[in-house]
Amino acid sequence: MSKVNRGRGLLIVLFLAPSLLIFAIYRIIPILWNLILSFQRWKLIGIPKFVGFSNYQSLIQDPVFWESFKNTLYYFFGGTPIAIGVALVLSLLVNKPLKGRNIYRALIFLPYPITPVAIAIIWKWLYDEKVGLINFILKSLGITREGIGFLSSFTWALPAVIFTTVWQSLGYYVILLLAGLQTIPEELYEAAEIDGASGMRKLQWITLPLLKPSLFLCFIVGIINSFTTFDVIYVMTNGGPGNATEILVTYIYKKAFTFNEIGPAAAMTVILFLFLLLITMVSNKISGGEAGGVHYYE
Amino acid sequence: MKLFKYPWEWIRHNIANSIVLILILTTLIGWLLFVELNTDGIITGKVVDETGRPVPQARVLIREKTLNLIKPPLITETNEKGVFVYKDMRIIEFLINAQKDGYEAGEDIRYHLYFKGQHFALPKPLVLKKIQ
Amino acid sequence: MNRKLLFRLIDHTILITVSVLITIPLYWVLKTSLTGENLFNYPPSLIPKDPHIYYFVDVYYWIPFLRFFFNSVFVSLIVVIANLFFNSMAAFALRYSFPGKKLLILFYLSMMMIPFQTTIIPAFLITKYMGLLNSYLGLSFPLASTIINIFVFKAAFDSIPGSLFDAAVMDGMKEHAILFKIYLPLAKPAIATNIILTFVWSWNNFIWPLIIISNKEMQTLPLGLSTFLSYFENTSGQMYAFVIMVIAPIILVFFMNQRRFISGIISGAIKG
Repeated sequence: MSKVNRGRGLLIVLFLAPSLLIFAIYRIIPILWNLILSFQRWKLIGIPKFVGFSNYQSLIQDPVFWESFKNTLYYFFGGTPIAIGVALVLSLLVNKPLKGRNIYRALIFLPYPITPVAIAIIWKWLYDEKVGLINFILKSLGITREGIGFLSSFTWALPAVIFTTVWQSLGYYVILLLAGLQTIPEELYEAAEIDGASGMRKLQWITLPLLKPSLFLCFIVGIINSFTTFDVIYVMTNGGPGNATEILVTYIYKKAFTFNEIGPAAAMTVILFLFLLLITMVSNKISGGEAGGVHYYE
Repeated sequence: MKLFKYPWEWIRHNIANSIVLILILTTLIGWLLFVELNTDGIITGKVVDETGRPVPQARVLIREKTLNLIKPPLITETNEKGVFVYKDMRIIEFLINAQKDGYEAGEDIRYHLYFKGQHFALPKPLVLKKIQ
Repeated sequence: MNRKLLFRLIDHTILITVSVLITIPLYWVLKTSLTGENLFNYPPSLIPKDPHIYYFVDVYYWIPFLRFFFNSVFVSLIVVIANLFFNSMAAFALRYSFPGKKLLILFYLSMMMIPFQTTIIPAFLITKYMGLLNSYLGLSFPLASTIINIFVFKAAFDSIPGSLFDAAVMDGMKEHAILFKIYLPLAKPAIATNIILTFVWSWNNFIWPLIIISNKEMQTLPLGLSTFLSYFENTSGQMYAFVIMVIAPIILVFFMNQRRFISGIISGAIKG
């Protein structure tokens, strides 16, 4: 690394400029502008009016807001632990020197890069009440007599959508956990075996503790995902039936771009952002602040 | 990561990917060529009665079918050999049937082509039953 | 010995079950796009009966598929190229030490905490005031640089010995030449990772085109899929042919570049 002189200084600025500009325009300014908008009343026509905290007040009284907040939390607490748990099992299995593990790994990861809109369409049809594959399997196994309208039932819609997201994100978690697994040195296991440790003990005392950073990473990814899934819900149910699958992001979109109520939508965005920040900081503290300190590829 | 000086080194190194790409490209080019060589847009067929004898001067109606509607028919007549020809057709899917006085009305038969302007000869002749 | 075999069997069984569960939906869509069964009739069959490609022909002619395809490709191209340049330049500049560098890196990292969905309203307004609604530039600008990829480049650059840099400087090379002629060629994996990650993200992007595109001609493939769904419901075989046509390119890209894909995701996520 070289020291900087004046000519170099200009160059550094020039080189940093494009990316900084993009981030300034599309990340920094929006966050600040969101804040401003949340204190205004505006319907995209005319001049916005400052109305203080009334947007936040109307949100607090808005049952749909609370419903969507609750659903977002369900999304996170319902989907992510299952996904990470299953991914953990899978990654432990794939890590073993089994034949064809590369094929398994590729197949498990396959859904992740596929367009979420396409996945939503595929699963929407799988869940179909009359001709969906899932109902067919349920009927042939004798579990139900008539088809269950997964996406039109108030009880099943959200779990069904969550399952689809879990299906798609499994591969991502498996990859992250695999990377973590592969950094655990073999010698630790060998030493434990010499001491007479069995499989389960090795798992408990070596694998899991050393996987903590990776698990934490999965956790963070899971939070961000559950707060920002839009495509799948919009295409599969658009928040329906009623508001059963409405999450914060979809409600924000509806308020802003369908009803043009910019103020409340911006207020919700601020709340969403702050909540996300809060959870991340809290979990960082809980995990002992190890998150950023692990570098696997130098 | 090695620096490849020549393109054929890159190909040898990524042999599987190269094969896939080449296959895709050749299929695409082959298909486009095939389409180009067969775009006369002629749809032709034969009308016969139940005994298999050709029916001359039978009216043939062809109706184009789009995703959500059916267009009004184009009408032509069969010649003495019971053969009809439509030229410059640019349709993908259609319903076709034949009519003639003295015969029972024929049923619509649906066909789906592969590209607009495809040269298509009806695989089976249109059969008209004589009214007893 | 037998016990080991038993465990091996159990492992394989679990993995095979999961693999099947993962691939069944995809296989099902492929089958339906080729045969059109199971849309109305029952019970569904496992093997495709009378496969045909007519649904694909329909999609090609009745939907402006080529147009949507071109839009997606073009936008992705802009995004990928912009990312390559902007990210490598930023990573290169981060090689130098200058006052405030730590702060800057912290700034970049904190950008990762701002998900795209929290910026949609002002981003829409900004795009509108720049007059870029319904335009390729409007579609690509927000994605033109990504923090993960900057750090991917940075990691690659950090592993290039400083002596090369000093030698180049002594040869009198200008900085941009050093970047493009020396650093980038040595960072081929980082370039590949950048390309793959940004391409997939841009190709799959749905919410942004949904927000700024109202002109039917400018839709990208995901948006086209969703509009088609709202017009034709999901009981038309053409719908699933459309789906296959949209996901086939990515699946292809994925299979051809598995390793880079996966390593890119790992290094990107962990750097963050």
